[in-house]
Amino acid sequence: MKKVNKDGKIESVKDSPACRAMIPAMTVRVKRVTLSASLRPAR
Amino acid sequence: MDGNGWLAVAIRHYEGADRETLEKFKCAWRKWEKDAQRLIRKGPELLADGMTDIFVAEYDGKAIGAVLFHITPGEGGEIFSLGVQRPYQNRHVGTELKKAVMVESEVQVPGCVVTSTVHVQNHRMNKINANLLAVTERITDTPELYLTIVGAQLERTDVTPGLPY
Repeated sequence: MKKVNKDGKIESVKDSPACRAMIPAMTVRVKRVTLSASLRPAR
Repeated sequence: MDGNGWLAVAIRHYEGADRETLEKFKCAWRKWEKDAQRLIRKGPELLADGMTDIFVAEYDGKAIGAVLFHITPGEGGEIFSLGVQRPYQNRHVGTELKKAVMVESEVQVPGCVVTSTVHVQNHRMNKINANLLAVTERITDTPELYLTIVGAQLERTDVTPGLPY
């Protein structure tokens, strides 16, 4: 989980060079879960 | 850890009336869950920067779960924090919150993935991620955290069946 940095912004995985390097190789291995669009909360 | 059955919750967008509940939110048992709790408590004020959205899980008229996330156009979703109030844990509420973010991300950015980080000892969250077929790896320079990536495909329930010949 994340923290708020000194600028008041939430730390993102994109702020981490290590995460940025890991994401492409992990993304290609993702098996997509089938979900119903009805799970989308209405505005 | 198999839980106490599904709790029927409504997942919806955060509303101003949830502010007080979220600012007193209690979901942490362990020290590595405190960051998630702190972030949820700050959620209402973080909304102002436009870089955060919040879904809540409502049960009996109260917000018993919350997920802070952001969807970047053209890229995908990221979950910053997800928590369920203590009496309602192990009832699949966290799974429903994460599914809602996955669906919202897929609707806004088709084909995208949703990223998050989680402490390696956060067994509740790690189980949710496993159930959602997450790809999970220790972060190379922060070995106490996993980077997890999930993706959804949406059921085609909106397709009108063709007429018979």
